[in-house]
Amino acid sequence: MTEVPLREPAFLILTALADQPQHGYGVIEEVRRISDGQVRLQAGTLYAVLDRLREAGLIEVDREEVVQSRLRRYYKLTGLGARRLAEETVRLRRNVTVAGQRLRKLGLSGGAA
Amino acid sequence: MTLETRYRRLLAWYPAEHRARYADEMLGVLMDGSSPGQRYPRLRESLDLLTTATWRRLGQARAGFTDSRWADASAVLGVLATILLCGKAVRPISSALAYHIAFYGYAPYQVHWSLTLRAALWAGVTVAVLGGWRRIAAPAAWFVVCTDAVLLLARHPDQRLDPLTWWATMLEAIAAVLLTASSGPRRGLRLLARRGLVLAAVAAVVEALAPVIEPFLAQDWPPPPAPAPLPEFYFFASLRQTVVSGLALGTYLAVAALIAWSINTTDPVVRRRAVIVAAPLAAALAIVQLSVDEGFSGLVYVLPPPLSGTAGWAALLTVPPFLAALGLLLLRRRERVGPSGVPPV
Repeated sequence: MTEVPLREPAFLILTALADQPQHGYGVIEEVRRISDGQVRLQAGTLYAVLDRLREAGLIEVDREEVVQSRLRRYYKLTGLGARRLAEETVRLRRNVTVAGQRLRKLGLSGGAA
Repeated sequence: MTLETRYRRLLAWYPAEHRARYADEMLGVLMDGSSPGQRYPRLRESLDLLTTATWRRLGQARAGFTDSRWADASAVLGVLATILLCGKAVRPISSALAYHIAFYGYAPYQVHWSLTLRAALWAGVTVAVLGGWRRIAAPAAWFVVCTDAVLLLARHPDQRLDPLTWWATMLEAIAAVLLTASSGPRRGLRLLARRGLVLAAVAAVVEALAPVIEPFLAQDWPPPPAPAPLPEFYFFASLRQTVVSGLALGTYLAVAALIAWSINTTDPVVRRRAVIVAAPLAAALAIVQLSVDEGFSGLVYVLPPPLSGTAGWAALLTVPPFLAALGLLLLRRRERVGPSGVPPV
């Protein structure tokens, strides 16, 4: 695989969008839920990552709504984005498996995964 | 001031293009994430917005300088600089020949080998540029710069730290940088087209041959009618020197006008960038000429150079950067992307 590994915010945003199209604030909330409250994206970071993902063709605009006179743009995963997320998941799973095996040898609980 | 206004002020740090695409949406996200009664943006989100906006601007600036339009401008200026430097390299030879003929009535058997070498090397670079040989032109220009630096060190071993001694070599280095950063001399030739190239060639010929007239106007030739009264001698000497200086200044202005005309023949998008690069260089050249004794042949020979010492350095360090910054600002305003995504014509 020649692709550069996704950074955590990008991985989590793609994961958030894998379920259903989301608007900006929805993505922030979903990422917080997925990461068990560990990752709280700020608006600046969110839109920097969304812009990069959009430029790379991994996400696209699904629809736009105006709620309380404010624009809400919903983003969804593209086919390319879904494949990229799948590849990244395989890569991370492989790393987790190796880490788990080594931790089991040390008798640490992290190996139970 | 409301929370929304404060958020809008923070979002104003983003470049216009980013604001046009995301600002309303981001404002909605920020307002959705705010607590009831909150009056100020949180510190963490403010820092996040300012940091990402700054990175966005830096990224845009980098992308702006690496786009092909700047490489095209560099190609145009690289071709022009090479042709002019070829003329400049021939200039001392034509001057030496003219003085020798004026004094002795015949051409010398040879001129100093270093002058001939430099002229031959720049002629070689010019041939490479006019032939459109990208892989040869830039390395050849750098070779000439290195050769010239070695010759200069050998000739002025006591002036190694004086940058004003190096200004001619710096000009050559700038030409080499332009050729290196360009999209290739072939592209530069195509952008200049025949008209632009003819104008540049005329400028180089004017630059190379203008000193031929000089010996006939110089204060040492012809000698003042003897026995001339002393005030009359100084009057004639001063008059002749002023004419010589005027000739030198006139040559610079004529060359500058021809090069400006040549740049004017190119596509407007390339032309604007070429002017932004060329204007600070031209200003720096003029400042150096007004700062050294031999600049513009010592315009009024009884007075020191107009920008001698600290004034010269201050002008050199402030005027060219100011012109570059002003040019970039005007370019940005001129080519700002509108809401439709299309830059104004």
